[in-house]
Amino acid sequence: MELAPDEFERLARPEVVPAYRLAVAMLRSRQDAEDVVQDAVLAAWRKIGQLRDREGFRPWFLTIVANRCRMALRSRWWSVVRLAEVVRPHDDGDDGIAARLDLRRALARLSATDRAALVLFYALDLPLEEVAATLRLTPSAAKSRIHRALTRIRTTLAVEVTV
Amino acid sequence: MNADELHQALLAETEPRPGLADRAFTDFPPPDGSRRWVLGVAAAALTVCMVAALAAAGGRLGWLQLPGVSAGPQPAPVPTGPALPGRLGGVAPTDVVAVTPSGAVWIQRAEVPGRPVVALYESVDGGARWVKRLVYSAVDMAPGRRMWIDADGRGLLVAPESLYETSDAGAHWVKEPLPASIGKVTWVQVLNGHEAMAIGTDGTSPHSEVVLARTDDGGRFWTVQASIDPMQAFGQNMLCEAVKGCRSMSPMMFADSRHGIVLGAPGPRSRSGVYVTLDGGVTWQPAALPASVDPTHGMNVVVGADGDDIAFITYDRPVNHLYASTDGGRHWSPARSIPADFGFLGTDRLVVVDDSHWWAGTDRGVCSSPDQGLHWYPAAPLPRYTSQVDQIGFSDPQHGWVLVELAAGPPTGPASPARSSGPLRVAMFTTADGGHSWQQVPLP
Repeated sequence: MELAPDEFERLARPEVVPAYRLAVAMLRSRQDAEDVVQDAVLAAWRKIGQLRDREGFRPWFLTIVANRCRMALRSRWWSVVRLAEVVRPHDDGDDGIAARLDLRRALARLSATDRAALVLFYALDLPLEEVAATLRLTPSAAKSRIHRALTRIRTTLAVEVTV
Repeated sequence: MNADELHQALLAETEPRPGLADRAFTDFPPPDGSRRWVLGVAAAALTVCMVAALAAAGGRLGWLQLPGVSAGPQPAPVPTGPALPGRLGGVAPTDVVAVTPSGAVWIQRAEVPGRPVVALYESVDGGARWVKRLVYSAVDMAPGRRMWIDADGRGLLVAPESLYETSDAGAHWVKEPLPASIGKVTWVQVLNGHEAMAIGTDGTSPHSEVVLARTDDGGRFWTVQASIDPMQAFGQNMLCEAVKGCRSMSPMMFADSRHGIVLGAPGPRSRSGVYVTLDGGVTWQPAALPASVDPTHGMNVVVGADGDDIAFITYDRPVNHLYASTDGGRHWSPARSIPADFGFLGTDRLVVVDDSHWWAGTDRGVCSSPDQGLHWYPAAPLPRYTSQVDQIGFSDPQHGWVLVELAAGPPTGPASPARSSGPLRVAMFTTADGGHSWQQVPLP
């Protein structure tokens, strides 16, 4: 597929936030996630010739992001603690804070791919097929991932969700 | 939690900062302008060579002028700061450690690619010349203040398996082993030249004992303040996640050897929220913060000069409230605020030198308060090519430093709080007159 830079930007811009959500779920670092997304934008531009049609852009772009996250995770040989990072304030009181801490803690116990599967399926509302394609899994394996992730976070959260 | 609630919770947990899409396209399209970038780069290189050759010939022949090269005044150059790859060994790419009253500047950097080796540099001439004073290993250390030099020249640096002492303001360092009672240090906050709080473990297994320890004699003797649940200590944060039943979601922060805070996650018998210690970490009490405060945005703690008033700050946009407690952390109320005009205050960018000298670094510069936060005044503006203040510190009311991010792009307008992705570039400025003027310090 051939695209001019402005056409590419119009196509890619709406996918930046979903890509960031995927990256921050996998990397658990907002700054690293932003870096990955910016890197993925440039990578997508350079590889746009490999894309067959515009409709396939989102899963294709998210796959690039997921791959970049895996690379980042592999190169992150050190372990550091980060202070709580800036997120948009939510006016949901102490219970909301507790819930977010619970969720963050539960997510932290999952593997990067499991976190990615949850975010793709439940936050971005991607169909199972796209979740699977993004994570380079079969649809049944993606479903298993999501189910397993839900089972694990149930120990911390009262999740009443079925896949 | 049903599917809708999980959907909303995941969206909230992964919410980006405003302006993400603009930042993602900061470098787009790439300079080559084509996805056939290899050919583009080759063509550009060829063009550059041809133009350079023509320019050289023109220089000899006296007729060829490259457009814009010699016509009219040139914009002030944007200084280039060091490219910063990211944290390594728990050390920020460049950490300003201290600017002493004598004018010596200390920084530390993780600078050996692929190895958690940290180098400590000193400059006594405003950054013209840097001397590497110490190199130490920092495997698996969390961010925290590792070094301090007192006015009398006594100093202390705590590394994972050793401590370093100096009695001549850092010219020479003596390495000492850490006692077995503390084992390997994973986090430390050096409070001054002889006091420090540290978390240590022998690190041999997930069941190793993890302790919070304190020294007040330069690290020769450490007192174990609290034991930490080892089963929780090797979780997501590597640091302690449990102190007397309070699991931690962030590193502890101590304002002095007694007053500290930690953000706790909910446990079987405890709620989430901020916990406060008044006895150096032996016991922790929940702090009843107002519901509108979200400590997950970050937090900091300072203690008043009399040692009783504790001020707690958190991100609370747009009003930058500072919350204070006068009853040992049980009750808190918004006591001060920094006007929004001064920018967004970061949690770790409030410095209390004494009751008459509070300093704050924001995303628009530096401001100060002479009356414990009641009124705020801007310090001398930083150059407009700088962006938000990343680090700020003051050794006394006159001597301080800031590490600022360099704004992306040329200095064509006022400093922008927007932060570009990619390598972070920083510049360091010092003041010797209480913020009335700033001098840039070239970094090594």
